[in-house]
Amino acid sequence: MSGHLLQLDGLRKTFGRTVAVDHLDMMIEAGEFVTFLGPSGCGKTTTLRMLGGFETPDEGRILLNGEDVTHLPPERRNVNMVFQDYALFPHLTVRRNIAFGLELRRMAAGDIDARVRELAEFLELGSLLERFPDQLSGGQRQRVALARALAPDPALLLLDEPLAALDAKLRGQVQQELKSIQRRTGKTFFFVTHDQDEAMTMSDRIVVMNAGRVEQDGTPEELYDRPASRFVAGFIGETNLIEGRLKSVEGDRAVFDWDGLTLVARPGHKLHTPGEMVSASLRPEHVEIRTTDTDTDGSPDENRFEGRLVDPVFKGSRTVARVELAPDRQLLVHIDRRSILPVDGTPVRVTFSSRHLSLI
Amino acid sequence: MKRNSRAFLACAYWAFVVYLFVPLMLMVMMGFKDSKFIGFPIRSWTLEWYLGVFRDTEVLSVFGYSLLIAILSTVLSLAIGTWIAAFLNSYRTFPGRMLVFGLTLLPAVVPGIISAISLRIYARVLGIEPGLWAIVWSHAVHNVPFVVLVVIARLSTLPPSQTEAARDLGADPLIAFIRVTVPYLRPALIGAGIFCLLLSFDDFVRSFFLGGYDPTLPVLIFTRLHSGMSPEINAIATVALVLTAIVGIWAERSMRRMRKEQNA
Repeated sequence: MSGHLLQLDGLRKTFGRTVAVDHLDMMIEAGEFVTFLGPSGCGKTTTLRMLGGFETPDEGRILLNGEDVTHLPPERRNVNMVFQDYALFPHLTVRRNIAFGLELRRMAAGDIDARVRELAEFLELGSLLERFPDQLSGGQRQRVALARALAPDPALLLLDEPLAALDAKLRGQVQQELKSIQRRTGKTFFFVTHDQDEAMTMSDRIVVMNAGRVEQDGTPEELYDRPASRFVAGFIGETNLIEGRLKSVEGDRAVFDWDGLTLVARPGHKLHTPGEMVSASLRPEHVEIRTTDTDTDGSPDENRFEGRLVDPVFKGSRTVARVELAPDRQLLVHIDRRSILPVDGTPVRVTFSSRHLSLI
Repeated sequence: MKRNSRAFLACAYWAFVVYLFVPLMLMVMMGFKDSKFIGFPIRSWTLEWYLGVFRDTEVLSVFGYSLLIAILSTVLSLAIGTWIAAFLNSYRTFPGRMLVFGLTLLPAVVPGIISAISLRIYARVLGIEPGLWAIVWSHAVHNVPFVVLVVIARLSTLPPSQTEAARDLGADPLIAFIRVTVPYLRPALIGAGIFCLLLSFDDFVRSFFLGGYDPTLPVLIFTRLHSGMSPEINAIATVALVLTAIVGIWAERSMRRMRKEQNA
């Protein structure tokens, strides 16, 4: 008996010649909000469907609370799912939809009623119980689907892009709600999405998948600050991907050459040897911008360059622009409203710490 | 020019309506004629023939018999047709699928007289006595293709997530089918069922070839025609016409209402 809620052992699934999921190993602990993030076709939905029992893996095992459920049909797993289209039963009222799983468990009518009322109150569905799904708004349907999946008290809740059908304004609000519901119920949520913003907002832990493999598995902060691959760096947030030849690595100082500019970076997850081509990720908000006449000699930042501001775009709280350090060498930067006046062509001095420039 | 063509269309339409309905109107009218002979001129009118239909115990019992056959064959057709449709829908990659589909539809296109004769021979081989069950069976064979076509059209619009959600919540495949798929198919089942009822009620050839001593309503009308046309037959036929028309119109309207509800 292992202490993990869910253990995936070398899970592999192919469809014809396409490898959807390739040797996935993972532990998930009780109470975690885990998000599988990746572009469409990366294997995240296939993983979810294998957990739900809708696909059988070609290889590997799925252990839920230490019990091998790999070959159990969906109806015999203590796992419930919120479907992308919600899959509410159109011929049943909200009440009967929520009660569906409880009725099949032969629960007494009084207990079903109590459980439905409890969930309805928790998810603010009290006034909608006698309505039919086609009389509900998108957000209400999503809550009914959630209530229906939570009703049988599953050990693990699977959510298949449940916010994709909502409009952008509502989505932000529902993200907060979902996170708060997860916190209050203490349930383990296994969430699948292609939206990095959604993943960052809600998750305790994000698993980035690409082409059937895990690219990185970590907290949102880890993924953002120390991306393990170019793919992760590019997928999560905006970044500057800088490529150059490594000159030396000493402790936490990695020096590399970016077409004639020497940069000091922080070594990443992988070991690199001098002479190798490396990439580094630099988030735009970590680049400090000053006018050239400011004295920055006292600044502790190792990387200091001069350049010219180009293409500033006003975005409200900040301005997004590029700084041209040399021909074909530009950095994407965010300019705080209080720092400098962003005018196209202004000569500027940029500085950034090696802590924020991590090798991939 | 445009005006002329529209006038022409209107004329053509009304000519077509007359062409369709005049024979029926004549039949209804002759039932009210106060004479034993069908034909113009009609000198006086009577309700006697219509009242006679409801007093004629043979007509009434044959009507009941036809209805029983219609209901039994419809239930059988729905059960078999839904099962085939579900099979064809869930095994989409099954190599013989198109063959099964083609064979399923075959009884609908085989000429009635040929299918009636072959069913008669087959019934004999199987040892099925001519009579109620032989007729029910032959009607079901004929009606199943229509059920399959209507049900499979509806089934193909059922999102897979519906049955998956039922399974996810603890239903085995059979319970998921009964509790989720069948309610979804309801409009198709009602529509196909009414169509089967009308087809069976109306059928002459199969009932004639597979019937025993008891005639169905069309067979009774046919045998009475042998003893000469009389307004009595017009009255029987008119009553049957009105009843089937009511069922048909009611079915059409409720289908349309259901469709509207679904689109809302």
